[in-house]
Amino acid sequence: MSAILLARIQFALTISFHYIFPPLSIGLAWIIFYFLWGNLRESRKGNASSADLYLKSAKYWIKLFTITFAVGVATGITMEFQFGTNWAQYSRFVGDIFGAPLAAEALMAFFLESCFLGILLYGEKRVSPKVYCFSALMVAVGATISAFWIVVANSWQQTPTGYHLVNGRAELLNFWDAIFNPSTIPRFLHTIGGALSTGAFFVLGISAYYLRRAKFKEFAKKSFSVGILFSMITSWGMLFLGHHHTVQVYKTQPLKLAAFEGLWESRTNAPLLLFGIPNEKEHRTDYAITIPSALSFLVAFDSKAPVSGLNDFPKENYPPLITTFITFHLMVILGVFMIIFSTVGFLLWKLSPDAFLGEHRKKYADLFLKIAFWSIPVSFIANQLGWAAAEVGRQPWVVYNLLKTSDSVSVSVPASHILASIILFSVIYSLLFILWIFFLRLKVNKGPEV
Amino acid sequence: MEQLDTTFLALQVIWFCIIAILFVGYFLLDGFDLGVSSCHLFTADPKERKVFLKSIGPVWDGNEVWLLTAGGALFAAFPSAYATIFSGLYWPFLLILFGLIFRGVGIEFRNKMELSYPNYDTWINRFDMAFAVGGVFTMFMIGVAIGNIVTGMSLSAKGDSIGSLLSLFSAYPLLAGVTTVCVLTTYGALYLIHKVPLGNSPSAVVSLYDRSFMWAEKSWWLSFITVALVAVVAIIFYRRDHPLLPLVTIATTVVGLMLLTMYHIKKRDASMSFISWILTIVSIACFAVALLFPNFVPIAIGGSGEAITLFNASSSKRTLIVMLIITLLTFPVVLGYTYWIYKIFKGRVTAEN
Repeated sequence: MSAILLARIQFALTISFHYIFPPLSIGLAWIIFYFLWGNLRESRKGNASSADLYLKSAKYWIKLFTITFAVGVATGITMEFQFGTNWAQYSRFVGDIFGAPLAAEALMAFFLESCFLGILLYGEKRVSPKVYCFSALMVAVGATISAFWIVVANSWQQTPTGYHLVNGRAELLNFWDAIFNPSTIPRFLHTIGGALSTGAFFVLGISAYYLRRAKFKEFAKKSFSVGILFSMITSWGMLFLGHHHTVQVYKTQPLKLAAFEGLWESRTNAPLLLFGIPNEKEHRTDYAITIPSALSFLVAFDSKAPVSGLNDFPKENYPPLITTFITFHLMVILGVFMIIFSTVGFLLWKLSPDAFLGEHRKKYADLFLKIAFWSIPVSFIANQLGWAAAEVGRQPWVVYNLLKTSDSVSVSVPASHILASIILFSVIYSLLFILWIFFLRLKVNKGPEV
Repeated sequence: MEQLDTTFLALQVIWFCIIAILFVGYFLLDGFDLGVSSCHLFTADPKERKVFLKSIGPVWDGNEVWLLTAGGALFAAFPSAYATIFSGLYWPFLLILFGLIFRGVGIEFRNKMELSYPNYDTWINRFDMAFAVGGVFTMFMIGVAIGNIVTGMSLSAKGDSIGSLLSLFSAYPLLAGVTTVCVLTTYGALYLIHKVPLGNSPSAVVSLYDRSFMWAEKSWWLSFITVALVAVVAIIFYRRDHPLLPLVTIATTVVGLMLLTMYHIKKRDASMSFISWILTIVSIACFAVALLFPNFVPIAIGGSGEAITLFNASSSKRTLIVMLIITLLTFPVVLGYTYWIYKIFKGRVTAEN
C-alpha cells in the first residue's frame, strides 16, 4: 500500500476514534451545568431535598464525564501531532491560516476546560457552591469554544476565504473573512447540536436503564425527564440546523451536494432522492425513488431552483461517490429516527409518567426504556456519519479546490513506518475503548452516591 | 532590492521567544508531574502512590495543555519548522504521544476504580505502572526529540528530513533522553517535598517527606553528571558558528544553580531548593535556545540542505500580528486563573479524605 493511502487510513482511524468522545463531553458538560444551576436555584428557594437531588445528579454525571474527557484529551493530542508527523506538506500550506485557530483553541479553550475541571473533580469542598457551579459553566463553555475553533479550521478548508496564495502557500489576507468563512457558522451549529443531542440521548439511555431495573428511582426519574426533554429539543433542532448546513453546501460546494444526493443531471425542479444507488459507470442512480422538485425546494425554498448535477463537473474531482452518498443518507435516517423516538417518548412520558415507573410498568413504556438504552450509540454513529460525509465528500481535496490530499502527505515518513504506527494506534486505542466501556459500566452499575 | 522589513523581523524574533517561553512553561509545569512518575517507582506502597497522584491530580491536565499550546503556536507561527520537526522526528513524537496516553489513563482511571471490584489491588498496581512507566517514557522521548534537534537533520530542498528514521535513536539523543529523565525526577521529588504529609506513613520507617529529600539528592547527582556531559558535548560538537563565550557563561550559570540547589537540599530548605531547581531548568532551556538561535532545525554535521530558521519558516506578518493580539488578550487571563487554582489546591495532601 502507498504511503498516502496508509496516512489516510491512520488519519481516518485516529479522528473517528477521537470523535467518539468530544461530543459526549460537550453535551454532558452542559447537562452537568444545568443540574448544578438547579442545585443553586433550589437551595435559594429552601427546597433542601430537591437541591440535594440536583447535586447528586450533577455529581453522578461528572463521574461519567471525566472518564470520557480523559480519553478525549488523550486521543486529541494525537490530532495536533499528526498534522505535523504525517501531513507535513499540508502543514506548510495551511499553517499561516490553520495555526491561528489551533493556537486560539489552546489558549481560549483547553486551559479553561482543564483548569476548571480540576475544581469540578477535586475542589467541591474547597470552593463555594456558586464557584463550583461556575466551574461547571467554564468547563462547558471551554468545550464549546474548543469545538468552535477546530470547526473554524475545518470550515476554512471546506470553503476557503480571506486568503491569498504566496509562494505556493495560503497566507492570511483578512482574519475575519477566514474565521467566518461561509461554512463556519452552519457547521459549528450543526456540530454543537449533534454534541448536545449525544449528551441528551446518553443521559436518557442510562436513566432508562435504571428505570427498567427500578434502581435509584428518584435520581433516574429526574435524569430521565431531563434527558427526554433535551433529546426532543435537540433532535428537532438538528432538523433545522442540518437543513441550514445543507443550504450552505448547495451554495458553496455544489459538487458535494450532487454527491450527497446522487444527482447526475443539472436541472431545475430537482427531485429529492428517498432511495437509490449511485452507478458511477453509467452516470445514473439506480432504483431511484424520488419526490419531484423537493430537493430544489429544500435547498432554495423554490421548487424551480436549479441544482447542479455530477455531470457538470470533471470526473477527476469526484469524491468517492458511494461512501459520500451512503454516509450522508444514513445520517439523515438516524436523525429522523431520533426525532420520532424522542417525540413519541416525550409525549408518552408527559401523558402518564406512572406508566414508566415501578415494577408494574406498562408494556409500551418498558419497550421504550429498552430501546432508549440500546439507542445510546445512535447519536454517536450519526456524528461519525455526518463527519464522514463532510470529509469524504470534499475529496480529492484537503483544502477545497486548492490543495489535493495526495499532495499533502509527509514525504519523510515511509509507508512501512506508517503501517507500524497504525498497528500501534489500533492496539492502544482498542485498549482505551475497552477501558472506557469498562469504567462506564463500573460507574453505571454503582450508580449515584447515596 | 527588497527592503528589509524590521517590524516583520521583530515579530519573528518575538514569536521565537514566545514559543521558547511556552516550551519552558511546559517543562516547569508538566515537568514536576512527569517527575513524580519516577518517584512512583521508588515506592511500592499503594497508599504513598495515592498521595503522589493526589498531589498532581488537579493540575496535571492543565499542565499538559502547555505542550499542546506550544505545539499549536509552533504550527501557527512557524509552519515549516513544525512540519519538518514533527515529520522528521516521527517516532520520538509518536512515542511521546503514547507515553502521555498511558500516563493520563493511569492517573485518571486509577481514581475511578471501585474498591469492591475483584482483584482491586492488581488493577491499582497496573494503573500505577501505566502512570509511572508512561511518564518516564515520555520524559525520555522528549529528551530524545530535543537531542535530535540539537544534532540537526539533513534536509531536502523542500525542507523535509532525508535521514533514516532509525538514526533518530543515536548516542547523543539517547543521552539527552536520560538527562531529561534525571533532571525532571529531581524536580518531581522537590515538588513532592511540598505536598507529602510530614509524619511517618504506617508502612515506612522513614517519612515520605524525608525520602523525597533523599530521592532529590540522589537524582541530583545523576542530573549533575548527565547535564555536564550533554552541555560539554554540545559546546564541542554542536556549537556551529555560535560564539563560545555566551554558551560557556550560560553553562557555568547552570552548574552554579545546580550546586546552589544541592546546598539548599543539604540544608533541608524546601522552598529554596525548589526555586533554585526551577532556575536551573530555565537556565538549561536558555542554553538550548542559545545553542540553536536562530535555527529551529540546524543541519546535521556532514548533512545537506538549508537550516530551518525563524526567518525562513515563519508565517506571514499579518498572521504573526493577529496571533500576538490573541495571545496578549488571552494569556494574562490564563495565567490569572491558573494561579488562582494553584492557590485553591495549596497545601499538603494525605491518602485519606
